Amino acid sequence: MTTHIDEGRLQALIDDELRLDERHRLEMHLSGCDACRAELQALRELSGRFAAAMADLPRLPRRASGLARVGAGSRSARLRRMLPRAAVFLVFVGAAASATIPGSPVRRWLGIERGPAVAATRDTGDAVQELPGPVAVDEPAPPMEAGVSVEAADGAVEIVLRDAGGDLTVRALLVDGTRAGVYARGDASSSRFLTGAGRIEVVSPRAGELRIELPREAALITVVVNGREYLRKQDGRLDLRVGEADAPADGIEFSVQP
Amino acid sequence: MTGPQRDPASFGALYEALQPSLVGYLERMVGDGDIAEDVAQEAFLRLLRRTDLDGDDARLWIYTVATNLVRDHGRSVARRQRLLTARPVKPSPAPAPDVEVERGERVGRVRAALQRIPERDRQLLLMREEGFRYQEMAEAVGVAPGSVGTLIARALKRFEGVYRGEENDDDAHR
Repeated sequence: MTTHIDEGRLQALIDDELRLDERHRLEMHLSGCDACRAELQALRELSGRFAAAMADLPRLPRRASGLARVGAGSRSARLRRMLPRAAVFLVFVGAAASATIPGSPVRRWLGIERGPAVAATRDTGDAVQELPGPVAVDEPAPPMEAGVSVEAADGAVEIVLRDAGGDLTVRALLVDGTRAGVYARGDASSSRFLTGAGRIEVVSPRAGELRIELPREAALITVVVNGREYLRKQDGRLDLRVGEADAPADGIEFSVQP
Repeated sequence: MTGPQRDPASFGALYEALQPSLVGYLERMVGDGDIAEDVAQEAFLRLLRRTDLDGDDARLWIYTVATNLVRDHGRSVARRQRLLTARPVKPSPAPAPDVEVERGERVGRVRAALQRIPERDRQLLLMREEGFRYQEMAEAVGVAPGSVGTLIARALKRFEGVYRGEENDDDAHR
């Protein structure tokens, strides 16, 4: 008797919350179950529509002087009672803020750079690696509305990230088929996506997570970040050209280098 | 002020790193930027006294505290609403929107839909958008980690149902 995958585990698969062995078991099941694949697709699209809706919400303009509002008379009665304390640490924060360095370890341990992308060192001698077998799905994941996908053009795909921030985590996965995709999570959902024949450009992914799906059947794939070629897939091999990477079983995960 | 407090430099770094995203999360939770900033300030004032928290622990703690403050604020607003209903006060007219109309309408629908789904759904969906992992979300809302995927899937469906309903209402009024 075949049992289907419940929506909770499908959602966990979408959100990268499964252990590797469980993920592989689910993918094996999905490769042979139309009903579960359809359910997974529906949940992916639902996630994408929610992310697109959130991307519509404007972020507040950042006021480092948020503390100054406390002194200027915030509406909260409780805060007004705390004004003397707020005034004291207003001075401290001013001093501390000037000492904070962008890209410092503080950002990592505060969880702004999520996931293991701040890299484990891999002593491979060079950055070339042979990848294991294909992800066991019959077709690439359908696009979320916070991402886009394109067909390879003449067997080639180019992914370009412009103005990418140092807090961005990128995960590149090889998938079956001829369609490339870029999907955004978190802050990266508010990036602009542009497409052309065999080309996807993501503008200003300052932080958050991007998942790039690279079609195994494309003969040539390049991923360019801020004008530098980071990844190249050619002749069946996936090369990381810049920095260090962490390697999940089916792809490469890296962070943007300064 | 009595009791231990954080080292100012480390607190400043935490504030610098967490405040923008926390305010953004709260603004989506309550739909009001002023309240979001006030609640964030309150949460940071409380964090000042917690010298035992750092890193991911501090981040999860402050989001949880801020969410609880929002809940408390919501209850006090509800109490005030009940008083106002008993003695109704004529509201002032809303100002005309100063944004592109279509996008403004979309933003309004999203905000309204967020406010209409259950509080736990809203918290889970917004924490997920902020990049929290299931384990952290489970701790924040008080459920088993294994149930978070199901709760999120259902929350997404509820949001979709409410959001599409808002869209249909808008279309009907055109």
